[in-house]
Amino acid sequence: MILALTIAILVTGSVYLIQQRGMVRIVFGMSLLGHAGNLTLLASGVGAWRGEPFPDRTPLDVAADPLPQAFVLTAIVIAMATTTILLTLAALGRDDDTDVPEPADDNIAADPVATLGRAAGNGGK
Amino acid sequence: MNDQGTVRGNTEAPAQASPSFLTFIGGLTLLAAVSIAATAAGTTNLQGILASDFWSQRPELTVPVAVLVAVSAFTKSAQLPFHFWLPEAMAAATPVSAFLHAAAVVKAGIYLLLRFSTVFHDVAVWNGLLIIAGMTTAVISAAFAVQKTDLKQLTAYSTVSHLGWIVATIGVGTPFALAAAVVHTAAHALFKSSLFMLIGVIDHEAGSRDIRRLGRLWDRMPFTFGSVVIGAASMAAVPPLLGFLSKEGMLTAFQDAPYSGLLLFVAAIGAVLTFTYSAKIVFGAFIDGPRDMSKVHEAPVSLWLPAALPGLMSLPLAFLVGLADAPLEAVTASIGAEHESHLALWHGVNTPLLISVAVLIIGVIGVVFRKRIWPALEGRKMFPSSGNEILESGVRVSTLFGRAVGAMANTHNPSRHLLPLVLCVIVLGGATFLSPGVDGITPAPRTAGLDNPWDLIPLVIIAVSVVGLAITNSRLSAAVLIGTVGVGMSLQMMLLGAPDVALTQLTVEALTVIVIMMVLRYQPNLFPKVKSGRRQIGALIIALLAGAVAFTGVHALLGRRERSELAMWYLTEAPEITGGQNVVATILVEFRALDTLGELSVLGMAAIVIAAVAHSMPRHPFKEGTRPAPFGQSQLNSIPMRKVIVLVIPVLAILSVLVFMRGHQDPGGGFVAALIMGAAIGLAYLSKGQDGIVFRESTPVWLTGIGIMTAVGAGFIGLLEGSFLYAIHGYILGEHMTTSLIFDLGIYLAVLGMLTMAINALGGYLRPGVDVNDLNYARIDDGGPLPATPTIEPGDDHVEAFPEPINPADAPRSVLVADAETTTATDKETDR
Repeated sequence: MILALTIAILVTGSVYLIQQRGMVRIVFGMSLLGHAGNLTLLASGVGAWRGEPFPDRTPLDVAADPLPQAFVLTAIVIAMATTTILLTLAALGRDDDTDVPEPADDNIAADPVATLGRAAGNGGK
Repeated sequence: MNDQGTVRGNTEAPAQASPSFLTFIGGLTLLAAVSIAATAAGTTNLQGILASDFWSQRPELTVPVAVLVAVSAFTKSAQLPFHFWLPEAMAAATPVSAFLHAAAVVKAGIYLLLRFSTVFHDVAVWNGLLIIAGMTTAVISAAFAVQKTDLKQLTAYSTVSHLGWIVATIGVGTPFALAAAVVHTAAHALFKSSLFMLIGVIDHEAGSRDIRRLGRLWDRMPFTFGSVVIGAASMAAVPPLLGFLSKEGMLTAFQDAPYSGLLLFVAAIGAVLTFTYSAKIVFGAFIDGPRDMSKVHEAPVSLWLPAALPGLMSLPLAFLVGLADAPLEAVTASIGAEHESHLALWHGVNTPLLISVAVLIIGVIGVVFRKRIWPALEGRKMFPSSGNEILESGVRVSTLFGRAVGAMANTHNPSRHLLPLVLCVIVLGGATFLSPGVDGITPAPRTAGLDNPWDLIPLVIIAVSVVGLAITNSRLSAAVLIGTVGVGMSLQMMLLGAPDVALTQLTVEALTVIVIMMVLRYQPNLFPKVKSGRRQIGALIIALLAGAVAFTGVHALLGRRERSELAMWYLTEAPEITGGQNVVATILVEFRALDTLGELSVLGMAAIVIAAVAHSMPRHPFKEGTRPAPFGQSQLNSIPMRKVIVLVIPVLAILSVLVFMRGHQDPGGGFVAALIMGAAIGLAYLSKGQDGIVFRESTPVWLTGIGIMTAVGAGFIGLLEGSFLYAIHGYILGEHMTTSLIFDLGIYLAVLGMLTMAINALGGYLRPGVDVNDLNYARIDDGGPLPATPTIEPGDDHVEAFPEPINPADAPRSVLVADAETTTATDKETDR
């Protein structure tokens, strides 16, 4: 119940943030989503057993499921790598605003660094 | 076949679809049919499938498979309503492949139908479907053929019509009918391939194959004329040719069909039309035409004779047909129908013969009055829209649908790419409520003792941080708050009994903050504001819905079981097998090492992506207020830190090695050790008096590469003892060692490679990217034909790339001037 609530808070914050302007905020939103996913994975190991999975110091009847933990450990490091890539992308332009003005001409971007895409818009502000 | 597959630049042009794609639909239905049949029969051998007894045991399967097979055959053999691809495909001049086309390709569907007659010949749906579709096709296509003036199109429609005859005959399903279908397949192959190629001969000699542009040719091309007459007569079922014999056979077969009277009547209409278009070929091409053909001469023998040969064979074969009895019986027997064949021209006076005679009489009368009848029919539309128009509108509709779907992602704004995915999850979650339980299944009871009151502490930390993150406009606050969320996460992981995970999370958080700060210093203090209040409210509603779905999903689905069998196995067996008590670590480097190797590759790819992005993008100038001039005392200010790291970095390095070595028995391992080392490198970066890279430019690449190669190498060592990545254990000087330590070293190096790459790419004074002149794809006035690469014009709000340091004190300046100069120089060097 408490874990589910924590996960729900993380998801809510994440979905709110990814709908904002600014790449950095969207990256933060994705980080929260990663946290929510990791916590869900850990919860799938059933929170009723919370002993550290070290058989020589934890009795078997309280030891936690080690498999989700291994998954999450991997996921954390991969999330770090993807976050770094996204942050690099956020750092490249003049700023990280995601509501860029649409180019008047499809072939000439207002900003030479901008990637051109056909009929690409930004939706309502 | 045709040129309609070319890409059109103007997307507003009416959609042109290649009708041949209809045959692909047939391929899909056939795949479905064969999959069902093969699954039910348990074999993919066609003979095995046909001999299988599931057809009688599971009749609910037989009908769907029969319909699917029939539809596949209809598309391949051009039956209504899939008929129009065949004439469309015959728009070009006659190639010799017409031979193949008339004789083989379109007969593939016929073969399929014959083959499956073994099991379907007494299925009523099959009989009805084939007879109705076949006979409708036969009559309507024959009518289409009569309307045509292009000889090749006429012949193409006549092929469709004859295929209809054959399909209807197969549909009757009796052994005699199957034999008749086989005979007509052969007869049709002979006269039709001949006619196709003879039309090519006419086209070649006279320069046209349109009846309206031909003239009196029969005396100019007598041999071609004679051959066409024999081929057409065989097609029109004039005795004593093979075509007559095979059509008699089919009419006889129709007598066994249900509603045979009606069927024979329709067949008679079809036969009259067949006679008419056969006559039209002869009269249109050689006799009636308006043009002067006096300069046309007969084709060389080498051209007309091979073309005429199959058709001419219709005459002698009709008399030698008795020889075909034995092979024909073999064919029908292979289908599974016992049949004694007695092929002959004369069977005495019976219903089919009377029909044939009546057809011949009506046909001849029609030919006599041809000048009045044929022109009235030509070019008249029989249906409101042709198959092609329907197909085109279908393609148009699906194109519009595709555009509408694509529009969701047709944007540069990442939010709009992410939103449809979130909405899908919300809809999925909502749809689950439509049925009781979860998908109609009541979940197992909840395990006792799931909640631990201590969990409330991380809950509060995370809740406060998330709310703050959502509200704040300041980038710096957001960076701090994302860090506190990470701390809350680490605490929660610790409470869940996952010390390794918590340790990793905590170190990752520390390092991520460094990366975030490196990025944030290029950017304005505040986030850009969303101006529309409606968008904000919408975002909030979607966020709350997503949160509700996440809550109910986690609450309803998780924590309803015992620990898994696999978990218990790891807990009881893993220490025995690996000699390590840290089960999580041994899962990572031994049991599921291949997964971890994949993850290393992701890290390696991340390093490459960062390097590639940073080195292939032109460097962007700064926006005003985003990049203050360097503070003049920075060198002096960094002195305490520089003194501290002399002590701290060795401690961290030793700690890193210790954590690395204890990983098998205690919390730790390659990941955590590398992250601790990464923290040391981060400290070294932070302690510098100026922006700069920590390692040489190529070092991260080497670290990553050597790391991955070390890990793969450890995998190959495992091959010595069993399999890739198998961990070999042993003792060196009484200390337990395993090859998974080498693998762990690979992890260590790859993580370090990724981290140092990030610091090198993002840590410089200037934004990531390269000067335009240094881009390897830049074109700067090199006189080439391509336009020059645009240079980035700094706007009015431009700030100098290397501003003078603000220097509040006068005295230290003498120290700093030299420093500042070297800074500028090294920065130029290192940022490349």
